Amino acid sequence: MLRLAGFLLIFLGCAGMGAAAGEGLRLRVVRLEELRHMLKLLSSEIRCAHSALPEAFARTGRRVKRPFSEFLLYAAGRMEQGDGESLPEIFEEAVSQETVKKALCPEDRELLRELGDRLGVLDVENQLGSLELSLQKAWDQEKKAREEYQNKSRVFRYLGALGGLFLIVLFL
Amino acid sequence: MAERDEFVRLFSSEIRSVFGGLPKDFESIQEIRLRAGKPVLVIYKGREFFMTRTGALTEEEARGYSIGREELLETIQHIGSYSLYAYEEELKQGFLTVKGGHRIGVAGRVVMEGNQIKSVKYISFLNVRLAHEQKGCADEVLPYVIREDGVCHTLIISPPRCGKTTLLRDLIRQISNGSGPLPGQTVGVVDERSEIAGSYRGVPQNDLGIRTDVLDCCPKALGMMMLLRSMAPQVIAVDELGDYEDIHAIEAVKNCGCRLLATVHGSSVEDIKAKPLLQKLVTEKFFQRYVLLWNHDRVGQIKGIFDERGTPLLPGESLC
Repeated sequence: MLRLAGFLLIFLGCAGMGAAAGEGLRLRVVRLEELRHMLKLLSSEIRCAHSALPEAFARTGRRVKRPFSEFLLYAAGRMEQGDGESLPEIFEEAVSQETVKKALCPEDRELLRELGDRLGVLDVENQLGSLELSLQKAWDQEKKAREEYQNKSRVFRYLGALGGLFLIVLFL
Repeated sequence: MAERDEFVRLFSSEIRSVFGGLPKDFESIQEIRLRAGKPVLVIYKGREFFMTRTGALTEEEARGYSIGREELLETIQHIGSYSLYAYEEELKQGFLTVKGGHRIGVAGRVVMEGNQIKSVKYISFLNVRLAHEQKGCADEVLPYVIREDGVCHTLIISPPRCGKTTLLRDLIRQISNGSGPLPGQTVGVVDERSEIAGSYRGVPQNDLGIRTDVLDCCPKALGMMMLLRSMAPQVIAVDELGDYEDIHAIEAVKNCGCRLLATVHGSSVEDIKAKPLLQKLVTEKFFQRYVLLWNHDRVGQIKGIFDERGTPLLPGESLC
């Protein structure tokens, strides 16, 4: 009886790991959707109200989900403080926050970091162009992530279950 | 102290450390001029001084602290909140207004689009005009500009830097809040260059009273019409009359029964009569009060107050 319970636990554990890996892929797609939403809101703020970056970031930060809300509100706060850092430096700090690092993969964090190099220079058209470029990149990344999720999530679930069965057979 | 700290944070980190040595009576600093590669100049109590490396004021140019181009660029970055694009409309006029109501004039390379100024780039010169309210400076003038039937159409005449905007601001505040026999009036302000209210993100940084509405960065003529249509003002206040369109808008103000407070550059009523655009208003006796300012002994000194016929109302004065 105890052995049976142990085998069940092994199977569930391995299947769970497979499901978790698939869930990770799904979460990336969701986060990239939220990233696009954030970029669109920022564009609207700048296009319609010509908002300065601290204001645009603060307002958008209150309307998006984590980790982007934390990224934006942190960057807005640092810009308001005016401690002499450049915009790329502020973005680097914002992207390096623990909550942001845990939630986003390096490729997605790089997309945010690049924004810091492009925003704040020249005119409104240039800001909108930079945001449009980031939006396009986010969309490309989201498409790839969605394909990966569709292709790999089922594989991970099966691998997890099969791995559990394999271990059970080994123990037998 | 908080106001001073907030002001100092506008500048680069290098300049902030220097400003620590500025005079403690922050209220007496009127202007700070920054020019790339040149010594920093401070207008303090009406006089010009160079700023030293320690922030002290001196009359010796050799001891003046020269600001580098990088420090100026960092300062511009702070002033514009990393977003100079957001100040496009103001930059076309050559200035931007920051928190505290301080006005930063800019100069550099102008970018044209056809015949219009699009922007200013390579900004290498900054003129920081500090906003200091002088509450109570209109106390002497107010009894002459109000009557039983309300506020008189009043024109404040003054040469540059003699305190006409400061006086107008305090008049607006007192009229809005009510003073003595005069109940509070709804005042509409068209603040074309953000000098009266010193609005920052739409919020006046100066106290204009509890019944005052402000149109910030709006052309005077358009602004007067907008206020008349939508804000039901009893008094309209504008700074620096002079355009053809302003005069037309004033006709509308007159026809609506609204009272007008305005300022104009000049040194006498005769001076104003010589201006073609204002001549008609003066000869038709539209303005019921003329307040003449100068800075003979101090900024904001009243040289004379006159009625529509030119009769002096202050004892010992004559029309000039």
